[in-house]
Amino acid sequence: MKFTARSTHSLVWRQILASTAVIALVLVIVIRVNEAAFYSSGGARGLTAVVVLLKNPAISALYGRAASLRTAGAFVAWKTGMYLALAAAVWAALMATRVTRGAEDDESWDLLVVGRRGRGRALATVIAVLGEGGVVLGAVTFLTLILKTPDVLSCVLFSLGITGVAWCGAAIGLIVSQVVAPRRSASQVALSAVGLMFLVRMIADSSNSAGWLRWLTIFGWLENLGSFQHHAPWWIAAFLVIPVLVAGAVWRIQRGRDLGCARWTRGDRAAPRTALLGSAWGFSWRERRSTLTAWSIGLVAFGLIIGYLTHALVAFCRSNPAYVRLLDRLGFSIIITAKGFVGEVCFTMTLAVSFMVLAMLVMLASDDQQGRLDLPLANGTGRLTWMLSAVVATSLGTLMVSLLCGLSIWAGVEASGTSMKFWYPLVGMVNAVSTTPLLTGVAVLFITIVKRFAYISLAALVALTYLLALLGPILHWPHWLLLSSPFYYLRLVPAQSPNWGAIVVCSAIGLVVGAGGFYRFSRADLGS
Amino acid sequence: MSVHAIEAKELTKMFGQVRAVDSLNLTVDAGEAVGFLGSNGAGKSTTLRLLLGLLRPTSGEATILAHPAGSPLARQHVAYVPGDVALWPQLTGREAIGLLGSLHGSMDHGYRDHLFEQFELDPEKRIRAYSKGNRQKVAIIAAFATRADVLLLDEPTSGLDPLMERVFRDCVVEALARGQAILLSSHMLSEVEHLCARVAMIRQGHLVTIADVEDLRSHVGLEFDIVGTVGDLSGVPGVSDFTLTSDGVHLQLVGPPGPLLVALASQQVTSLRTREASLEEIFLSYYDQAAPATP
Repeated sequence: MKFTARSTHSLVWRQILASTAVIALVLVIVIRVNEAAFYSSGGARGLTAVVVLLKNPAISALYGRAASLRTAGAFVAWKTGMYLALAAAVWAALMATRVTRGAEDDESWDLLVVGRRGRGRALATVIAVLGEGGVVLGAVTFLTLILKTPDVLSCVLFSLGITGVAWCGAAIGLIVSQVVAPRRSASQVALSAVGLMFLVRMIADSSNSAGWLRWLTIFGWLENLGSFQHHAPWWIAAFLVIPVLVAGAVWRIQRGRDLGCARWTRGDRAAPRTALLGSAWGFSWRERRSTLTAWSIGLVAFGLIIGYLTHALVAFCRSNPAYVRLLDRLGFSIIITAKGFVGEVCFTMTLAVSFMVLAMLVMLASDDQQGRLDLPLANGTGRLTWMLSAVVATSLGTLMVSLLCGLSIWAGVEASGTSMKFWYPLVGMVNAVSTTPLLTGVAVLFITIVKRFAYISLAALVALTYLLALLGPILHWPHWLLLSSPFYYLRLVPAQSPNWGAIVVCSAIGLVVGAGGFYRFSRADLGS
Repeated sequence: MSVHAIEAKELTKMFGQVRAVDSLNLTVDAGEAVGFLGSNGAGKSTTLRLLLGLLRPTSGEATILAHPAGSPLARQHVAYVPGDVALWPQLTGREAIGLLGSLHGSMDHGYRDHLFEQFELDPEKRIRAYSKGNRQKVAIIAAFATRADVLLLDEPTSGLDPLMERVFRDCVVEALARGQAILLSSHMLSEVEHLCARVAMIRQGHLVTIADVEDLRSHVGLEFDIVGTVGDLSGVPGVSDFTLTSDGVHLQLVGPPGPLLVALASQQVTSLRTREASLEEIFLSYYDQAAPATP
């Protein structure tokens, strides 16, 4: 019995190991880079002017609340804590849907549970492994932070917060997997839930009257822990109690449903909807439509909230000359104008849009892996047509989302009482997605080489090159290194003019690399 | 010179150091069904995927109606049924078949609806709600309703019940009557025996034989169970596998029966039963012959 339990345990670990390693690596890099940024800005004394900024609602919405930045750890927790927690929650939610709903979809779960283990024990093993994954992320965070910030209690609290958020993310993924099928839908619902919690936290931090909303979101609980601030360790209880309650609910639900079926599924029968089934082009759009919708809703909501904060941030900057001087020193003085801030927002959204592009392109790799391409490609459609239709659907979708985001930012800015021409954010977003041709080209080539870990590998590459462009100039990293990031060439449109030369060169590189991907796809063995 | 519906010339596929298909030569003509037999991992599915253009050959060539396998012209003439059907789970059966028909460019809607009835498939159900057998029916209906000139069928009846297997056989018979060419890979030897005039056997990537079933039978011979007092017939030309049984003898005869009948005329025979070798016995016989010698 012990051997069986150990085997199941290792089997589940093998499924999450690679992504856990990548997320852990990203945590380490982000923390170390931001610590370096702290010291290069003159440490606690150099950031005195920034402390005033912590009270600004726009900054609180973006980064969370903080009262002081005395240590490198405090700076890291404030500047990146929310985003590291978001990454941990997303990772955990996706892994939970993968090892439960995904395993039921591909029927590997059947083999696992028919033996002596049974469904209950197998589920317990999965929960344990996801819990251990969260602990690994927390431990990595602690060990990285403690090297530069010997404030053990604060480091422990922050790391426990990361673990707790990961546990809650896993709990969301687990419960959604019980009620939604197939895996792709379950992942979208789980990610939407995590994204919604993040937005609720942003709203909660944008005004004192909405502060109670922090109780409703795991990211609010992380703030309430007060690591590096006021220390409120009792909030750890929330991170323990909620996952345990959810695990109990998951246990009960799985006992009351058939294996392979979700509790709430759309009916097994449906009237035929033949729209967009007439060609590979239409089907590629249809296949990506729900992913596009989910991302659009999240990004539009983010754009509205962040646009609404424009007035508060710009007014604050104008009334704090010391802060403006600091921003100038860091090369960010441009954001003290509404146009500059909108440009910065668009630059930030580039990262999210890039992840969306990857999510839509990687469907090609997962369809191939699961053998879904065999029938369409045997039944008449050419490989290049199929791949091109995926690229076109992704590109059109990206353009559409970027325009919607631009409009939502504009609506937010207008609602805040700042007047702005509606096309400013639109051009800002179009400029922001000008990296898409390069990203698409690289992704197309990459997924013909690596199918299994395509998304996580590409997402890590995007995150690291983005970080390079964001922090490299502040940390005076070598120029050649900065030039390797496509995000480095992005200008803050509409405050600055687009970097047409870079856009053309990057797009041309994307085209050439993408052509290599098309060539490889046309020659590759499918389904192997 | 007539064009073969399917032709493989020295077709070879390597996966790393493993030779999955080795210099395979095969032809299938219009209106002909060829059974493709082999053990698990022998290279049947790999051969079919090479013919579909889903895998690229290491060397050699494959053509469909003289067009290179996988080329746009070849794909227009091919329909495929895999042994394990993977489709988008949120689509209904009708939507999936509609999609595959659109991608193929042709679909006989009347025949498709007829097949829905024959296979008793509820086409408004989502793929995820189908059993394995019903998913298999979706692929079968999509393939046959395209009326493609060439049908590549890889374990098409896996998961189908015996009644549905019979419906499938009717479809194949009808397709053959229309002049469609069929390469049928199957472990169900009775199915192959019933539908295919020729069979190809593959073992570890090598084509062991390709011949008419009747020719193969004549090579394997007739089984004789003779009851009575019978002497040693092992020296009679064509007789092999001569064994004594409790009430007579059992033997196998390859070649003309004359010498055996002459020898039996002088024996006290109470009864005599003959039986042709089944395809299963032929298959095992060829496989045993082709098996590498064990030390």
